[in-house]
Amino acid sequence: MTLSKKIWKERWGYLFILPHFIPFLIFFLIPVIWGIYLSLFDYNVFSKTFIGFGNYKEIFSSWLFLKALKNTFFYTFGVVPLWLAKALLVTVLIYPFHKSIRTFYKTIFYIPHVSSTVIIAMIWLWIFNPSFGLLDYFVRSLGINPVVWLGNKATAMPSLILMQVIMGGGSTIVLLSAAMSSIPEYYFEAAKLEGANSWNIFYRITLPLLKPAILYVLVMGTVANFQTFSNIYIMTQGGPEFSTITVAYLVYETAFKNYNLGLASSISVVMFLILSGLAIIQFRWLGKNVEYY
Amino acid sequence: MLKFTKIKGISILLMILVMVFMMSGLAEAKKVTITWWINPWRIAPPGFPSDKSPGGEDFPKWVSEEFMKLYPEVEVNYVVVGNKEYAQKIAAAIATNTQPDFFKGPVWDSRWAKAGLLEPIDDLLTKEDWQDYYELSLEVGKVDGKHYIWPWSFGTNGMGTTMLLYTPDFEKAGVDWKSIVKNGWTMEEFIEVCKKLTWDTNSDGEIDHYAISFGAKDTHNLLNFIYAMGGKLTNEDESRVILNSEEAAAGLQFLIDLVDKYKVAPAGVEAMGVYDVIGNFHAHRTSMGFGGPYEIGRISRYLKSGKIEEQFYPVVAPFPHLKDREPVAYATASGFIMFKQEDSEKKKMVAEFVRFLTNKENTALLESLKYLTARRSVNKNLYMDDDYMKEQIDSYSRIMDNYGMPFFGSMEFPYAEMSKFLSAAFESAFSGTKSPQQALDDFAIEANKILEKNK
Repeated sequence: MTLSKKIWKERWGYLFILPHFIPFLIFFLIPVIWGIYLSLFDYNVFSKTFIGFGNYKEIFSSWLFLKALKNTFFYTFGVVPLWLAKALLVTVLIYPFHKSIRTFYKTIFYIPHVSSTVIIAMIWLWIFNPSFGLLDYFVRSLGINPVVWLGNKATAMPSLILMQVIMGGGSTIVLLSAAMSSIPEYYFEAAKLEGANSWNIFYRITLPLLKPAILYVLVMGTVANFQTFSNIYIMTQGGPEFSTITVAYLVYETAFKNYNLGLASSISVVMFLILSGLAIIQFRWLGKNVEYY
Repeated sequence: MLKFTKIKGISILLMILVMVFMMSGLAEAKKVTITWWINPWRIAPPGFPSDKSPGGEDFPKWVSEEFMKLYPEVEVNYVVVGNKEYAQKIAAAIATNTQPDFFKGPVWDSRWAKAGLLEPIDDLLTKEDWQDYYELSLEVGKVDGKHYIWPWSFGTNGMGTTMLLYTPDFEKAGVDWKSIVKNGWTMEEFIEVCKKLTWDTNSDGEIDHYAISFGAKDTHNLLNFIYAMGGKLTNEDESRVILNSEEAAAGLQFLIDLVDKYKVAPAGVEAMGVYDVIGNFHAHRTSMGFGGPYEIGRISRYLKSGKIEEQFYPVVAPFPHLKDREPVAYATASGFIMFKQEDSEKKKMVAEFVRFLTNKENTALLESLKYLTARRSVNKNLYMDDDYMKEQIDSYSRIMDNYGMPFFGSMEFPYAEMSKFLSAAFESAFSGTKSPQQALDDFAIEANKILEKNK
């Protein structure tokens, strides 16, 4: 059967996916390809000169880009494991409760997920305020000197990570709860009958059977956190001393403050390649022995 | 026969209706459409209730409607763009050729003028305009010998230009604030006054009221002290950044000493920005703030919107200076920038609208925002009904006139690309991770790289 005949045979399927595919093409695929194209140019808003890989040479010789990359990895691999650990812990703790109580807790943890990130960032700005913030109020009450959380390069990034871990993970908890609910009860009953304790049940039954969901959460969480922007934009603007500058924030600064769209596009392409690589590694490494039931 | 006549009649009526519709469409098509962008300027248009606080849309809406009344063949669309997203929106608009016909915003780039995107205003200003506008207000928009900014306001909110003194605290401390306003003060006198204005309000052994506060992200006010000590951002021909001179390092050390040695300013400067500093002043946690008449107007606006509870009336004073040097004051101006038009009729109407916006009557509306205008003739008649504001405006204009200077180089100097490195330098100096000299040296290295790249 020729290709055209095959397509004609499947025409209704293609027709049904067209409403999704057309916006995907216009608003995602074409801009991504255009971005890769622009990365080969010295392109500001009013002139365009082909420079080949000049932009890539510039970013890899720039200490600021390498610092942003390092910060982004630190942030991502600080947030994602802690997020996951928190989500797993909450899921396992609320699992034995009645459905209505589980729903209540899931709702509580999910609320930040549907709240505006800007509002959350502004509230945490006040919590971290060195003179009048809630956090330093508690620190002072313990007899410790107040800390300039977002003004000290040693504490700024950990503060952002802490904020993200506390406020985030709601959707992960909902996902893991759903995955846990689909594990057949008799696995746990059999394990209890065999004398397994809670830790053994969690490590040998719950965790392996949650692997597909964990893998999904890990990949999506890595992709999302690698692109973190709004917290940095609202709270620290990359400071102090560039200790919180991330790749996404650098793209924004390069494009819209320096008007260097070609260089910004090349940084975006590098970010895309890194994320693709990370996703492949995660699927290969963690995807082994993933059981679907 | 009757049916045929009916059909004929209905057809003729339909044709007439279609023709009327098409003609009105044509009439609409003949209308010139002007689109302009402005960032939020909360100016009260004529007739605005005095007990309310104007929003960012009130002035552009009013002035657009007034112009359309004068020129019914023109359709004016305004867009209010927030300050934070202004840069990316205008960059995206230029990249997609959807830029407005003219704009007023917190950003512009002299490279747009060099690339031929902007319309010079030299031939559009009258002889009277040239004489009426302050020279600096025209100079800020000069690129390659042509002027691109149609002046409107003179000065900014006053950050880096003047200080604000909360006089009840000065009187409580027994400090003669009137002498400071009239004669200025040296750095030594400033330190002594700061010591008197720092105290423990509730006698718990902890200082909770300071003379002044600073923010590392608030470069304007920090740079005033550095400039006052003899530091400068660039050399004469702007070929080199020299903010790492000994004088500049001494200026930065002076600021750090105010926090660490004299303890007259709260710690945490590295984490604070200009709104933290303003907040401290509004809450009377500090006796001194920064800014000019616009910042006095902010107090009234915040009171009307419920952000603060108490109206107070600070006075404008110069920044302190070295004994053998004069004070310095940051001076700049802003106005409207026109993009080039291919259609000569449209270009004429756009220029006419900007002329209308910047005429004496409409420029005088800046009074509601407590801004100085770029026109000498207008400033002479501002605030005639308000002795207090007239006094503050007079102090502010006198200080700007006598000591005003740009801090960030000319329009062709790429300061915008360097600014993040300067903030980082201030953050590292105030946090103690680098000495002032090391911090400024590192800034100068990065800034000179940018300068080299832009040559």
